[in-house]
Amino acid sequence: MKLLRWVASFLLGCAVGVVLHYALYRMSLPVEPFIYMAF
Amino acid sequence: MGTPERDGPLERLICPGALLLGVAASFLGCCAAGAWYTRHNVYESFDRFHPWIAPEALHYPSAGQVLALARARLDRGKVAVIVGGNSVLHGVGQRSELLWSKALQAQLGDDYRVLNLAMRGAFPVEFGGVAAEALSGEYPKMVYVTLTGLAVGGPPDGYFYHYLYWDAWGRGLLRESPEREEGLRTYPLVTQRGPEKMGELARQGRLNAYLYFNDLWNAVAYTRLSTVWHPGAGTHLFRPRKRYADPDAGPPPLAARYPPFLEAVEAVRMRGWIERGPGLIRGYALPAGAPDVLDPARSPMCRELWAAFPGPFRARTLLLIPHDSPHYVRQLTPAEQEAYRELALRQVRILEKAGFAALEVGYGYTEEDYADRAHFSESGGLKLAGEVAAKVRQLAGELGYAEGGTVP
Repeated sequence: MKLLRWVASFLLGCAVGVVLHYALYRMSLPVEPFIYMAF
Repeated sequence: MGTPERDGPLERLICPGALLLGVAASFLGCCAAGAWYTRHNVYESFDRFHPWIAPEALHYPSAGQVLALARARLDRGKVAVIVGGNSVLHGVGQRSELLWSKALQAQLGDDYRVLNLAMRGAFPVEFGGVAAEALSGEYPKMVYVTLTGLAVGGPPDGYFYHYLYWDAWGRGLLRESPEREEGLRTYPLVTQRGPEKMGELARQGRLNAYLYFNDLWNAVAYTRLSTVWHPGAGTHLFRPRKRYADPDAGPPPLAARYPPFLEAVEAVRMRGWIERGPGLIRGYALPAGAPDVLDPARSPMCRELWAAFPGPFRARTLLLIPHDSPHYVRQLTPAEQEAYRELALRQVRILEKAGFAALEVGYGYTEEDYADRAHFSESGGLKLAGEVAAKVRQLAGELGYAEGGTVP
């Protein structure tokens, strides 16, 4: 049971880490439409 | 204030140490995967950054990925010909299989390697010029082909694609250049962004240099699963970008290339250029009776290009000055047509005085050689390739790339 809790926590942490890394990518994308979308 | 409750539901389910270890391991794993993608080219069947793999569809190739692409395509023993510039050199109006840069490769032969990094709406140094500068240490035999016109030099870091400049800057891939620093402080299109935006671009560049988030998720979007939706994708929410073909269908039928409603507009535009062009190129109003001397130091175009291209890169930069389609040029009177051509030649002369190589292109082409006012059709692309190939060979000879005997 303790091992299962540890593994589940670790996997949840992994998911959070991936989401954090992905969030940096999404934050770097501009919010304005691009050139031919804007014109 | 009471003591925190121990063994609540969350504490019973979660082991904090393992959770934090998982966060750190996966975050670092993502960084490592991103770093791996900066060293391996993901753009396998690449002809150009067509709209589906470009910022127009919210796909922003990182500096690392562009360099990985270039390293996969170029050869250190051959002359690297990097094509930059805007939609004209991107080849808008040409199908991928009949792209002018492919014709350029064919005409230059095996001693050269051509890579088309031109982007729609880009200024001369933008995108392709950043890659060329970043690669210059690895590929000493290099010619950068780009395009300008209308006496425009452009901002030193670009406009629509300035993200790539700051990404490369964050990785330390660009040289120190006082002229560029000055240009970044003074060019109106740069200063209007404001210090907050400039600071954000710099922070983003530095952060991505360490954490590789753009490199990883762009690569995932291209190869596996696109997590950024674009209206053009419709119901294909997650289709990877590599499954989208280059959408350029080639030039429209001749009857559709020159809409009648544009005739008067273009005539006004061209006459305005003929009237204002000499002063814009020269950079000052000519006093009556004074000799018409071209001085690059007084020309805004040349000063902007000096800021954009650090000194060592100017001689190997070929700036093309394109003509508009003869469909519109021939609406001008013979005297106006002569003045129009002279403006192209004046730009070539002043750019050569400024230390660049320059060439007018499009003169003598037919209206079938254009897909519209400015873009070359596939037949025009062939002619363009011929003109550029001759100039690139000449430039390669002047730059001493022939030493070693492999380059004519």
